[in-house]
Amino acid sequence: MIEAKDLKKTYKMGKTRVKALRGVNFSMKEGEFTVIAGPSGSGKTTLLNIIGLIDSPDDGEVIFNGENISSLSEKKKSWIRREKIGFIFQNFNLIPVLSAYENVDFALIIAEFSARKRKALVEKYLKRVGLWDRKKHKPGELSGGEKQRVAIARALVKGPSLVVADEPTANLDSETTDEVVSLMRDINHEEGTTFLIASHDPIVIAEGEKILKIRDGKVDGGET
Amino acid sequence: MKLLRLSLRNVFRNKRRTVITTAVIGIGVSMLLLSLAYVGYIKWGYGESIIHSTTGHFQIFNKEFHRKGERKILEFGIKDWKEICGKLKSFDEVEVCLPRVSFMGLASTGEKSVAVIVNAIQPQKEVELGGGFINSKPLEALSKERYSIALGKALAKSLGVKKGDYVTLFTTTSEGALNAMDFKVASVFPAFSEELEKRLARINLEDAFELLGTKKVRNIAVGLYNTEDLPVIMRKLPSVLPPSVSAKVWKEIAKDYLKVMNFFFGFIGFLTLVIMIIVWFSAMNTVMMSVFERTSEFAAIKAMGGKNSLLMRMLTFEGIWLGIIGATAGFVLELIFSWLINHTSIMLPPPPNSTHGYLLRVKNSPDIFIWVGIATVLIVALSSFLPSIRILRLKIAEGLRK
Repeated sequence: MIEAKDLKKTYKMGKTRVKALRGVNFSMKEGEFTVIAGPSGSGKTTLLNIIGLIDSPDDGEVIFNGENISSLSEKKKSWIRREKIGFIFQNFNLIPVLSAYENVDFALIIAEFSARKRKALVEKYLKRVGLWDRKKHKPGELSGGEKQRVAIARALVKGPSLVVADEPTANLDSETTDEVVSLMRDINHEEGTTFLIASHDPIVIAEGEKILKIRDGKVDGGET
Repeated sequence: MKLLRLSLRNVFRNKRRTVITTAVIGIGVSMLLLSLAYVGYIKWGYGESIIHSTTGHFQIFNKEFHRKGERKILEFGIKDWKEICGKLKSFDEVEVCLPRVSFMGLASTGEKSVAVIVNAIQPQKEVELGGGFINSKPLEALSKERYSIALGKALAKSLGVKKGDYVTLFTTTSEGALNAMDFKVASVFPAFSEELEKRLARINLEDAFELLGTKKVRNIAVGLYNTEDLPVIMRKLPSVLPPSVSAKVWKEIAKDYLKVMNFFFGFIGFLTLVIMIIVWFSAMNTVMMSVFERTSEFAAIKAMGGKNSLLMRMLTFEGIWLGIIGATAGFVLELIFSWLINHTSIMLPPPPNSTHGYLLRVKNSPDIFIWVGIATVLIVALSSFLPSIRILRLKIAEGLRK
């Protein structure tokens, strides 16, 4: 499904140049639950961002369902993100003025779903993450775990081929981390949704079907 | 609709900032509306004052009078004025028909002589036209007996005469001969203009006919019950007027009116510009701060595939809401201020060349409210455009790190 070929990325931080990726190669199949593991600053988020089409590599290719997507126009990349990729962020990035229901619904508004379809899908996914009875609550009235479950529902509701999650448990305690990881794993099992998760959390790494260890911008010891 | 609701909620995310911004917009809008209402009152009041104290709503002249210069007084006057007035009075809109003669002369006490402008009028009808806009007492005194004269206050002072004294009026007749008549001073009156007060005298029309040796009038001033009826009556006029005469509306006669109003409109234009610049920057600052604070949120929406047009629409709607709330606050403030102003008695000093001050009043117009409201909403919506460019250029990965 996804193949990364010799991905390189260098950032300029003032006068310093930081090599975030130094030639990363990896591949993952549809339905896999892959974890990119590595310490802070290893390049996991950069790799995730490039796969998720929110950043571009300086060199190398990302092949998504047989198509080189790293060199597409911004408009086309935006379309792929809208139609094919769901995002889960470390800081949840929910819209604070919207309720749980509206936050999930907003992903469908962005993807231009009809009102009738939206209603059914939002209900289905809020129930799936166990928050239907909290649908009217705004993010400020939800716990960290609940916020991340809303974010998971928001990422899944449009039926993406790939869900990209960047440190989804970084702001959660271990008990909530267990819940959130189990939820993502269950959805992966039940619905066959492909997950690509960047994390240095042992609980998340332990759940990985495939683990890609990354250190200093390079894959460390291959895929396991 | 969802986006409109979301935008409204976004506006109230930072309530304190929104309150400050809408207060700035509201105060600006209310001050602008108050200034416009003041000019509206001046426009209305000055116009009505000119109509009721001087010109009437329109005047009828002999066509030749404006084309050719008169060699003799009233050479191009109106002879059949009674007939014309009779026809005009048949219109429901017409309140009063005022034949008038105006001529130059010399007022003398024997010891002192002053060149004067004499208005020969039918005083009681002038009172009808004047209504509450004039002091009717000097005219009523003039109407009580024949061969009486009303003098401008400064003119009476200059001649050294008072009520009950006699002055002799010298002028040339319509045949070019010199004529003189004695008049008893019936009253003195203040005029709006100091210059006019030094020169103006009024006598009865019948006396002027005798003095000038003609029954012609210079013009016929016509007063309507309602100024709004003027266009209607002007359309009807050609059917009743003889071909030898034509009509001029009051604005064509009182040329100073347009000059004064242009001055006010220039001032208001400048004030509008200043207020709208303040509104623009205030709103832009708020939207800019809001955009800055929500960078990661915008990045997340873009990451989810949100189109730039969606984000721009959202920010523009936020601007529109700010504009609507600010303009509404401005409307309410203005209505409160204008009520207070119209229920107090603040006197303004006399304008240049004027002898008396006037009450501060404002006159609101629904049209002005609509236009100021639309302009405010548009300006505030446009002010959110620059901050939204920042969002278009936002790199998602960088935005998410903030």
